[in-house]
Amino acid sequence: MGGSAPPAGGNAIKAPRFTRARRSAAAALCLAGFCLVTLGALPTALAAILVITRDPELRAQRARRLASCGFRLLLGWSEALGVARFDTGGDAWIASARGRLVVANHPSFLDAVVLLARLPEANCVVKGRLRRHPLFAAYLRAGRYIGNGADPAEVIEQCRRAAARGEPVLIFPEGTRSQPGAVPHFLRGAAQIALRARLQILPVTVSCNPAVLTHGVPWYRMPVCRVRHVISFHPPRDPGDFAPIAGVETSRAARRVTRGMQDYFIRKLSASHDVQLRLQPLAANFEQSLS
Amino acid sequence: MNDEQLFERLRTILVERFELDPAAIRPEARLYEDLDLDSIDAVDLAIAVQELSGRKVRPQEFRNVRTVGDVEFEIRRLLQTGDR
Repeated sequence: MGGSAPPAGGNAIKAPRFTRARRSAAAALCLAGFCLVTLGALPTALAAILVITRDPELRAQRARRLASCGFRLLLGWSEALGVARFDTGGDAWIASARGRLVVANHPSFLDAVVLLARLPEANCVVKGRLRRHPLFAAYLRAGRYIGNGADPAEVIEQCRRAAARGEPVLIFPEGTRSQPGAVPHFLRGAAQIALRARLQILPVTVSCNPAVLTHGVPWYRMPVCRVRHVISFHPPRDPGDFAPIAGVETSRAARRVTRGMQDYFIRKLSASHDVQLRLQPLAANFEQSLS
Repeated sequence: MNDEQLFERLRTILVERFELDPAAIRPEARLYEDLDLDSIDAVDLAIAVQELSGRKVRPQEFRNVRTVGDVEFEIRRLLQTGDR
């Protein structure tokens, strides 16, 4: 724990002990609910689906809907306990995700939870390591989520087929969760997929404040105040809307689109998510309650 | 095609396809770490090598390619098998 830098913004908030204890207790309850659902109810339902459904495509669809349902429960549960609040930007955009590549930045583990909760039909490009995770492996396999494996051509083809079936295809172009406080750094996979599978992109910007379940922070370390997780969707775009790519070779176009898309996200993130503004009054309240 | 010409052809391919700095293309430069190619670029590179040599590139042969020098070696090998 020692030696870690203070959070960005440097608001030296000293929380009263009971507040942190209460938050931790609520978070523990949250987790207990999550465990109950993921280890008890959902595996039973998943097993039932696997036994009853013969058609592999339908089976995968049902498994994904089940996972989505579990995530919705988890979100509702954590909102009810006051641990977090989720702003998912209304329902209007959900239809526009159909058959598109849903591209999002990735500050927290919650991003995937929120997006898959809101998009029950969605498929997702999942990094190979997660597919071997003891808690998720069964769901990811049953839901036929797209594993980012050894053969890139296979990943592209799977994305193309999923989109053709009308599934939103979720991908986090950073490849993993962002370093907290750093600007997003996009790898080229998302642009490569959009270009080669000829998919439109639905950009989704995500902010999570204070940062929880981020990269390199133990999952049990909970913040002192309520987590506010906000996603905003933006109008669908062609890859060529991010950078001029007419007549450019695909590998070169992927580089331009990646840069254009990253700039777009940085612009949208700094414009729409008034992260610092939200934190300031919160900090003021804390100091008042202490004095 | 002599060694120098071959290397220049390879350099042109890498610079044009992957927007690389010509000065960074040296035989010892590693494709993934130094030149920031990804797995999809590697497939594109294999296709470019195929076009340049006029020979079919087998994926398992290209899998061991790590540096620009390895690519050059692979092209040379393909060209030689073509002469026979």
